[in-house]
Amino acid sequence: MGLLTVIRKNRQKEKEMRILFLGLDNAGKTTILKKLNGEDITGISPTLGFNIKTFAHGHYTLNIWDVGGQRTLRPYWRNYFEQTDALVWVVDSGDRMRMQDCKQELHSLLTEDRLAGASLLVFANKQDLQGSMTDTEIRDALDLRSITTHHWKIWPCSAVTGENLVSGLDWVVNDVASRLYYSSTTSLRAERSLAVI
Amino acid sequence: MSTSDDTTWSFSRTFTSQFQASRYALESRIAAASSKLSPSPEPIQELSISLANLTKTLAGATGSLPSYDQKQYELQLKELERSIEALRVSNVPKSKFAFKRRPAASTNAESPTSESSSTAIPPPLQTKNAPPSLPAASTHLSLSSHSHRYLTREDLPSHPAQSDLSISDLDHCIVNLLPSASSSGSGTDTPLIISALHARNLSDCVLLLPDVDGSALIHDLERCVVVLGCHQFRMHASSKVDVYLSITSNPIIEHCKEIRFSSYPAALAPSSVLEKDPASFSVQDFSHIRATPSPNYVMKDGTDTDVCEWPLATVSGEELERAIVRIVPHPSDQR
Repeated sequence: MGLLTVIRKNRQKEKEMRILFLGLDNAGKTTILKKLNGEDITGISPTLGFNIKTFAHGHYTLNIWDVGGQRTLRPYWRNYFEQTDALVWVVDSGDRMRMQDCKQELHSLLTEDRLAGASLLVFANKQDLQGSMTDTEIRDALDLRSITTHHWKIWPCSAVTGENLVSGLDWVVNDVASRLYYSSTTSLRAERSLAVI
Repeated sequence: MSTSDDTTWSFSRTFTSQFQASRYALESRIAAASSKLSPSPEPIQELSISLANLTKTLAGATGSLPSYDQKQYELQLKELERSIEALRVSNVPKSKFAFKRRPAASTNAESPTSESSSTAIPPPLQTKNAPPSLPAASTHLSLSSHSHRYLTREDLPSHPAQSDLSISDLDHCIVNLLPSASSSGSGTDTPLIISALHARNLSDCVLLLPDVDGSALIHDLERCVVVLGCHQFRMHASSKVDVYLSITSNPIIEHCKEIRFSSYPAALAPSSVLEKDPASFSVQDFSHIRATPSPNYVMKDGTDTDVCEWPLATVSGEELERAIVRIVPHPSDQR
């Protein structure tokens, strides 16, 4: 093992990202995480407090913080803002009655200094439910196009079927990577496209 | 010693009233300005000058106010500052990037205006008025705005076999969506599969629901009975509700009072509910995160169900009234 290999391995290890999962209660934050991690999702109770999950995704180690969304817990969200690379905002696509509430919470988060620069992924969850809102409807209901301060993307998904979860995470990880690890992403991409071939 | 305390106290009292008065005045001026479509720059300038003055008075009072109050006032000022800033942003036409796409730019310029007006007014229950404004492209089941009715599956609009259900704004109603035992063969034979339940703003109602496939989210219920099976149960801002529940996770309540929980009555249980373990769930009260038991709910023993006669058949008028009165919890009914 040469010095270069050692250095490379060391750098690989450092590639961590901190991702914050937020959203109203009943959005499915915990369910998404458990599904991504391949755990059982049937007996999930509403989160009282928070969960931390760490797992490898591509070349990166993700530290994911999932904080409960009940109204009484929302004031505590600010305790988790420090050094957040990406914010994943989870929306219950079936919950038309609270879209306004959801929009206000999201937009007030985006004014936070400590979240400045974080990439924003909006998961339009529960697409498996009949009659849920589409991602375009949610984009308009949450007025996402007025967001100019963050890189954002809306991604339709379903935590129950697992559809689109990984691809959404891919986007957010790549977006953060292109900011933080600019120098190495190009080579990684090349590697990845080679792997595809 | 005591005199100095007294002066501090009276100072903080007068300061508080003056400060609050000028804050309210400023707030209403901001609201007025933001309700106009295109506020001119001068009033905004004036607003920020008054805000600066207010900030200065607060800074001058530092040390003479209780620290908690000081912090609160600072937060309030920050909020005002934010809404003025939103006003200013909405005022400046976003013409910088106009060459990119013209229609997009115009929607962008307008949307912050509406947003700033909504932030200027503290917003607790605007949500009620929100749904109609949403595009109704994708369909869902809803039961809404009825009073003194017995509602069954026939009252639902035609729907796919599986859908989410929202129930809102009912008064003195019985909603029975249980699969009828004596199926009358009137085209309702296909089992109704509800994938999520949203209930809001019900009073003096009885909800008899089958096993919901997903979660139930309940807001603003008063004097109601809810019979329900679901994966997750959340109830907010409700009082005097009896909940008969079949659930695999822990139900939670928040800002609720006088809630009574018991298990799903066996007499009503469809097979899907009976298959589940009639496990005892433990309720979590998010408004009472302590070791002591929450005063906001009680668990009733599942065996001695109070209600022996559920209103399963369609009734109307006087009879409906009596059936509701018999089941629904009353103010005096609390043990």
